Amino acid sequence: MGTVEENNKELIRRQYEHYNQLEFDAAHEYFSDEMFSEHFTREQVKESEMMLHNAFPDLTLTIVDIIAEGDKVAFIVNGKGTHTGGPYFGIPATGKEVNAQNTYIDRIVDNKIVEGNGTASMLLLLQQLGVMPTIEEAVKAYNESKKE
Amino acid sequence: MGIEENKEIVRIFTERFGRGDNSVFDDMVTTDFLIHYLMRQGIDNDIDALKKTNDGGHAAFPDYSIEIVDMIAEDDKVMVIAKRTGTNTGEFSGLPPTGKTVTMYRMALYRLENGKIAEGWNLDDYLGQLLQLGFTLTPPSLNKGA
Repeated sequence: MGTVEENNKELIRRQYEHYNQLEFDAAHEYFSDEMFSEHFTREQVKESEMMLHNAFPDLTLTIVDIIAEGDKVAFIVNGKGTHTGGPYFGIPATGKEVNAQNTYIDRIVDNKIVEGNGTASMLLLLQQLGVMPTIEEAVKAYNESKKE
Repeated sequence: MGIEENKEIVRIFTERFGRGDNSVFDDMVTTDFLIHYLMRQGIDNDIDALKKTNDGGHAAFPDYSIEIVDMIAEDDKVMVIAKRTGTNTGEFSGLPPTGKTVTMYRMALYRLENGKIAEGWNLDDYLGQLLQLGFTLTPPSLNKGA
């Protein structure tokens, strides 16, 4: 018998194993209905997860660190993959490799995730895909446009 | 040090750093402190670049306030979510002020050694901040020369 914390960390690790095996339905079993709302439906989340894995067919999600306290689990996930598949938010395959982290704090009740908060390296990811400039490049372009 | 002491240290560090106080790197971190700045490339382990970024943020948003939303801890680690709110009344990376008030979430994981922060992994919702300032995303098909 492990502690609640060990049990909850193991639950998150199992969920990510399912994502890496492309078992989206099994991964979603860990989310309670409370996680979702009419503005954030289970179907929308599943579609965006499938879009991600479809765009990056070799995507590997690795939990690089995980801690737990009480009913909450905090973790950092590294995502690494190559954009050789379908479009990603409408961006056609770029062939570029991305390597970026997301951070999460999930709350778990009765072996289901009932609440989640997180931040994502979206800007870095878009820069790695080559579709967003760095801030320095954007500012340089702005200053040059002012000179014209 | 127990987890409650570690959380208190991270709370103080997060509030001071979030208010623009770079002296946290003099008295709250170990001499071999390592920082991993997850949302921008090239800043990893470069404390001077991190201080410069923090100074730049406070020049752009002089009224920045920071509120801790959640903290959880285990052994020698603490994860924190903080919400920063500020009004862009100063220059942002050389761009003129927009006057816009923005809210940005910051998540960071810290590893502590004997009451000092030894390592940090920091991830700010930087894209969210840029979008609130009025930056726009351009689809690649519309990019010149793409």
